[in-house]
Amino acid sequence: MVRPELTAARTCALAIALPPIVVTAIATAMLLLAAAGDHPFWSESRVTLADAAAEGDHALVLRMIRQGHDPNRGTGRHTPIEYALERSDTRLVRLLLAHGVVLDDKSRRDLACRAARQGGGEIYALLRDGRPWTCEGPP
Amino acid sequence: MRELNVAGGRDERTRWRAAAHAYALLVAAGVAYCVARMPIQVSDCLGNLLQIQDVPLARVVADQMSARAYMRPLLWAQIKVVSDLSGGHYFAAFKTVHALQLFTLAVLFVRPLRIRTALDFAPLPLAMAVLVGLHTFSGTVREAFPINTFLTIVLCCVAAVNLSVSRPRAWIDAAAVLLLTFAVLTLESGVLVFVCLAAAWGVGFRGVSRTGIFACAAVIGVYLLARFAVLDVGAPGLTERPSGFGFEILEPSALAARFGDNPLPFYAYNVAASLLSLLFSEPRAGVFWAVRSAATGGTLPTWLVLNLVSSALATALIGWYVLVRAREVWHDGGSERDGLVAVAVAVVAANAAISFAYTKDVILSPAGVFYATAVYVAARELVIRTAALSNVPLRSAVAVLAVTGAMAWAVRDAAIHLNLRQWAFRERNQWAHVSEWLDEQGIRVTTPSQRALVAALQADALSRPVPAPARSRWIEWFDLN
Repeated sequence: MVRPELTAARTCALAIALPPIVVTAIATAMLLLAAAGDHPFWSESRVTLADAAAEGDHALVLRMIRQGHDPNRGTGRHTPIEYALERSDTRLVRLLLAHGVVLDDKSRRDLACRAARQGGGEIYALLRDGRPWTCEGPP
Repeated sequence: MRELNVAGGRDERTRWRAAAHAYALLVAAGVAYCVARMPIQVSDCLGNLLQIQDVPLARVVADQMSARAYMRPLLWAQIKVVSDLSGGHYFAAFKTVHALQLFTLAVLFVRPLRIRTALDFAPLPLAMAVLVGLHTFSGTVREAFPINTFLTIVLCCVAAVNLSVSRPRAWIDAAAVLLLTFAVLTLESGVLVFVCLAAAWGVGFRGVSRTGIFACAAVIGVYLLARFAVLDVGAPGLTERPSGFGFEILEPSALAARFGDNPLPFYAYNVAASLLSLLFSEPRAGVFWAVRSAATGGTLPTWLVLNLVSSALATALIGWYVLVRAREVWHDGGSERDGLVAVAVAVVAANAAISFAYTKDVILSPAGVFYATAVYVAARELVIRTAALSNVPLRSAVAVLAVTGAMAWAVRDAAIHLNLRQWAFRERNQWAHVSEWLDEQGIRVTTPSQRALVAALQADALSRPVPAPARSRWIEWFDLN
């Protein structure tokens, strides 16, 4: 026969202890999985440079460019610089332009004007870079 | 009740003690893993490493002794020693130090709790969740300079309590003096080590003797004399950095305009804000975000509600403990665990007081650890007293509150992993723009060893796999600040 006060103490002890123990158990399971392979919470799943740009992952973009990936090559919808523009990510645009993105004058102007429409004055200036055109008038 | 409370024998006591240490080390391992996945940061770190390249250790220390506003020679000495010993493997060396700090903290946190029985063990997971989940902790693992000196001070404070609760031995006094000297020459908040030692002695712990306490007081005296009278280092002024005040962050110029003539109200605000922050997780870094949000009719994010509820429950638990034990201690004398709570109260008060010039979550990290100790002691008492309650509805209400608090703290505990992952992504991105950052800071990389350092750290950071920030509506449950 278990005494009521012992049951109450056990219930209270379990109420206090169980939630944090569950969190620790999950963290430990992930650590064990990491020892066997990749940590599920820390795995880097992006595979293309455009995907990395879409995620705003500047470091991976730079790493992939250094590894020889083409910064002009897009996947499906957009090129890396278009993703950067979509994110209004000035630093990523600058990074891509400094590391081999080639734009013909029309594409450059289209992108710059799109940036201007989005309110991205700095990106507009980066893309225009002193060229003699504006967003008004025919292309 | 006795079944839970009384250890069967030596083997059982050893088993529970081992289980407690193993649990704490597991929690530390989870955090250390995330720390080890984070690149070394650019800001507050690369500049420090560049500064000590090609400079002998003695010069690094001497330069710090003649600095203005800050006197942290051993902080720089530690960075220099680890950097030189790394043999160019900076990431491995500094991350090893950080991980070791975490494991040491786990062991030193558990030891004074004297866990011997199942009852002693039961509140430990909650205490570890409070330790890791409290907002004052994240700054000790998210950043590094590249050694996280705030964590160093936390360790020194916890080590001081470990010395105090030990059996008196001749070497302990010497160790206490050395520990205090090391702490105050590492960071200004190292004076908290003295608060730990003096408070522990005051409540009856005699690991450090009266002579040891006097010697430590002498160390503080010499430190203050050297800092303010001999070396004229002084203290940081109002205009050093932006600071939270009320519902906003004030720039140094605004601080000077508002408090330049009389900084006392600002100092009093910082002390009060620090104390409230520790006890209720609001304000944060001096800004009352939740109050502002409520006052302007905004919706509080879930993580903020969780922070407020969990901290309010934990603080209420400690308050309840102090109330019920105060009278018993007055009549019958206190136990060792009562002493730990008294030391925690002293450290919380002192930590808030030394934050008078500037309040920031991570500065309160020593008090945060002692807050977790107090939660442990109070939760243990709650389990004991709940068993003695004959009123079933009251007993049920206590259980519901206990499980609510524990669940809220478990979410805060889990948030640290997500927080570190998000931070790692942010920090790694900084390395893609390191040249721009160096230009902005006016830092010139001139020598071959400096160039090699930047190249090695950048290559290391870029090669480190870091996932993109998670996007889910569940994210708003976690405090990522």
